[in-house]
Amino acid sequence: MIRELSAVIFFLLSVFFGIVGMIGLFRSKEPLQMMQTGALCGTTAVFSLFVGLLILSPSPSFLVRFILIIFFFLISSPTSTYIVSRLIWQTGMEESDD
Amino acid sequence: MNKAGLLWNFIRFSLTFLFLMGVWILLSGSFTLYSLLMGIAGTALISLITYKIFIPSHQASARYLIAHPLFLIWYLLVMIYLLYKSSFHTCKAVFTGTSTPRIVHFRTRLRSDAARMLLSLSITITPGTICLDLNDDHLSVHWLLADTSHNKESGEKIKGFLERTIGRVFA
Repeated sequence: MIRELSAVIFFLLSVFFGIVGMIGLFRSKEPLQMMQTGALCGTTAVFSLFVGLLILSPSPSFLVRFILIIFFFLISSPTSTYIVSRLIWQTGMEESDD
Repeated sequence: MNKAGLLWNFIRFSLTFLFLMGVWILLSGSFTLYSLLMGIAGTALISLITYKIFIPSHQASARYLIAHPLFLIWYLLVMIYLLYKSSFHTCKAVFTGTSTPRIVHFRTRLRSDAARMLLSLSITITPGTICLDLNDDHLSVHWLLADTSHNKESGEKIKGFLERTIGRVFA
């Protein structure tokens, strides 16, 4: 029961950050600001979802695989953000809307 | 290539192979002959293609590469705390529309490439800050909720705690 409740809390957090991230994406005017608010969807929402699934994992083998997937996500997500942001910065796109 | 160079390449290949094989066994969860052979073939091929990317000779030191396990766990807990703290701050900025974005530049005291990479990843994964450039020890960061234009002060606010934590991981 406690496991399910904890998982639900993380799922709700995931939904909350996903929705706020989407709102922020449409309210932001500059590309780098969009990246920042989009990170709420891309990072915190997905991470919360993974933690919820981790709590519900039925066996240790699933647990280890989930942890491995989370590690992969924690490396790949900021790397892709870095590549896009660096491109925006180097091409001067963040100043184009001013 | 001399003998030392060949040996160094072999060590790099072996380390890449062993790491990838470990990941394969964890993900497949199978010790059947077919699975192991497929894993060996796949990881050997990937290791052959990629081993030169990893571990440059000037970083060939255990303290530069191997993380302290206890401090690594502490770092992960710190990251989870910072992730949620920054997320709520960014949520507040989204609703109130009071963001003050600024690009700041500062230096890091971390010595190893792995530690610097971990710092830049940590800065990027925390909502509200994105690392735009990492050039040696120099970092350029986009800060959504900037409250100072002073580089050293902003560096301390963005990476101070993280840098100290990562410094212990690769001590």
